[in-house]
Amino acid sequence: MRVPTWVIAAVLLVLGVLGWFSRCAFQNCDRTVKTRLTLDAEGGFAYVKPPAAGGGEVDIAFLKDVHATDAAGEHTCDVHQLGVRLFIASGVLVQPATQPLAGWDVANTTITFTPLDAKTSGPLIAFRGQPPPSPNQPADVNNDVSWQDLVWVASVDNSYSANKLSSTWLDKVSGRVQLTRGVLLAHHPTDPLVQKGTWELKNARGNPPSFTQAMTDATEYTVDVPGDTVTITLANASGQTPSSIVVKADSVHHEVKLKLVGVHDDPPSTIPVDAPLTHYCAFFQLLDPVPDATAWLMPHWKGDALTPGGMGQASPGGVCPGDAMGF
Amino acid sequence: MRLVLAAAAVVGAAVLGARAIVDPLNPHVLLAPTAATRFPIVILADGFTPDEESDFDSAAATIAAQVQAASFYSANIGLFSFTSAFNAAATSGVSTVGFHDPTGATECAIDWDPSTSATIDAVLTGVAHFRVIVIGNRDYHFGCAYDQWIYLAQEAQFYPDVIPHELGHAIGGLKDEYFPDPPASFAYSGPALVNENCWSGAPPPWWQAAFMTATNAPGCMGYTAGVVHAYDDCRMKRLTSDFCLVCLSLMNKAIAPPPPPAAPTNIRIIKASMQPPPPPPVATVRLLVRVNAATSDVAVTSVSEESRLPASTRARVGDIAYEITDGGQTIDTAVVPGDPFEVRSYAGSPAAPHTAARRDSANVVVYLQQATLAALRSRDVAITFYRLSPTARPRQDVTPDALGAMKTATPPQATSFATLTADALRRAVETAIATRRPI
Repeated sequence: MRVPTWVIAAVLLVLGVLGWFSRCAFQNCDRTVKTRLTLDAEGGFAYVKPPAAGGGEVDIAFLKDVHATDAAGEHTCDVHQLGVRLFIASGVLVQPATQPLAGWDVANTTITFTPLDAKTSGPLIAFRGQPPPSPNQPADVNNDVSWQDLVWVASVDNSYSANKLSSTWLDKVSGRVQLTRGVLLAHHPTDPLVQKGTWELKNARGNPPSFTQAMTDATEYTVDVPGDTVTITLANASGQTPSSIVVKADSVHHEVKLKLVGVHDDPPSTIPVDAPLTHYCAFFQLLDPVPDATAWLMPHWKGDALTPGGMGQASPGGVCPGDAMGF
Repeated sequence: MRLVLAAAAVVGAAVLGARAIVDPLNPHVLLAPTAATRFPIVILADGFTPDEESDFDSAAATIAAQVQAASFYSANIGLFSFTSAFNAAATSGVSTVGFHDPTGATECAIDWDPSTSATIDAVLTGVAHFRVIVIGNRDYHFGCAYDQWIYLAQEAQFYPDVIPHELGHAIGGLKDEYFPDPPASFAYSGPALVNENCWSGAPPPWWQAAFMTATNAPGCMGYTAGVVHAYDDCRMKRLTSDFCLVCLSLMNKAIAPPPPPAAPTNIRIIKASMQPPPPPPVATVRLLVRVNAATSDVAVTSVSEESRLPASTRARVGDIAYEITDGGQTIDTAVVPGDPFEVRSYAGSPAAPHTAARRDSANVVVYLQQATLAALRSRDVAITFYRLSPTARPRQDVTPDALGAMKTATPPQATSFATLTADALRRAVETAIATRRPI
């Protein structure tokens, strides 16, 4: 029996229509143009979950100068900030045309990334688990994956039941990066020695109780931004810092990569074993009420227990570790 | 005709062959040398695959620009040149010149093979270099300096003051002025510091008369007591600062061109001419010499000939000096900046400040002024290294006469500890000529 031509044509038409509509079962049909944005942050930033945001936001906050004294007028905390620098580590600048050699000074700005939407990125994931038991280090300190838990960004407010993030914390920071979508992970420390070592957070009076843990000064934030450019909005920008920076991915890395570096004055270049990281005192000023200075749990370098003879000195240099608040 | 074509092919192949040797480095001139350039700096890639060349190029350009923008260097920019050299790695992050993770307690966050310094010079054959900034493809922020190289993990490019600070060590022999916060306490008890930017003598420090604004606060070189520094606001103490007046004065002394060497007695005058001869091209022979302070062993690591004035100085920028003799006659002296046996690091340094970060042997750069490899084949040039008493002739230039007086003082103020003999130097020169790579 001969099949009529119109039947063959109709069958082919049906198959074609079915194939067209079922193609997405076999390939990604999402043609939304998006750009991967990565922000590496290094320094003594406060990673704050603002209570008002209901847990859906983390701010990388830049601390102001701190000059605190006790009731007797003795200096208890002196930290002089030298600024926060933002660099385009990879990507093509659309606007402005060039970046300063020392990056843009963003210490007094509020940074957001636009546009962000649900099509390209989910609500912010910023996982901070429970500290593992002693020696409280990542399972494999040489494996980047082991450092991804934000628990490796220490937290002062976890140890104080009566002292929580101040409701006026925004007055105590000079600027911040607001993260509302994407993923925020901890990253291995910028100093290979610190990567292998631990810190004991303690005070002279033994209350709150001391504890030991590994700490990092670095985090990595990743988000997919719709479109082929990323706009970095810098509210309150002044001087040579523009109010917005537009970047697109380059042909090598296929992403936009930013670097945020915090630098403060007279950083203790090297910290001997059992010596305190004195600049950590700045984070206690964000608590309400500020605990008595004798109660501050200050990190003391305990060295590298993994390497025989490898106690070494921790070297924050211009980069001190951060602290998580409100998690 | 065929013969001509064949000859052309041979010449062409030779030229291409020469390029094939040099081109893999793909040197990029980031700041061209001038006639005054004495401090050519090469930025060498380490651990970057060909796919990552643009990452290295970007980092190298950034670092070169950072130095050019820093105040002291911008004011003396004609003395410097920058060239980047891409030495491709087969595997990302794996060094091609012998840098590797430390296997135990070390001075730095990176360790290296005994042959690393020689390998670096071999890789850079034909590329003039006073110092080599090695950018390691490692996702960290640390640095380490030894021999003729300064190793930086690539994240250091985001800290624009690192290399301007490190060159303060390499050129002016400047000491680090930072020290740990209380309650850490380290009292300095080493050799007297009376020539440097740290002062361990009785007050006032040497700089007080010239710089009356100096505050002379305690702490320097990692020690919290027993030593003072002039100003808190100084590149050697604080990132983002310029050199303080004291460090600036030491740097300015260090970059002053050295006087020409004395003529040896065995030079033959070929003939006199009625017309003044054209000035000869500037020629300097650069030696990288491994010196062991404990055993007195000396060996030449590399030899190269450069068409530029040397980076040597007679200023008192350190306590190690060398004397160049030709046929037994002293023709030149120079001071090695800083302490060449000290391994400097930021990040990952040992527990006691600087005291443990020393090695017995180090590669020292020695310059032979107005010399060529060809001429050295027939000369009796020897090099003797001296340890100078820190308090002898403080802050005075180490001229041949001054060194002679220090050697014969009672007790001696300059003690020789190693000598590169004329025979050993000639052998090294012959090897260099035999293996010289066309440029």
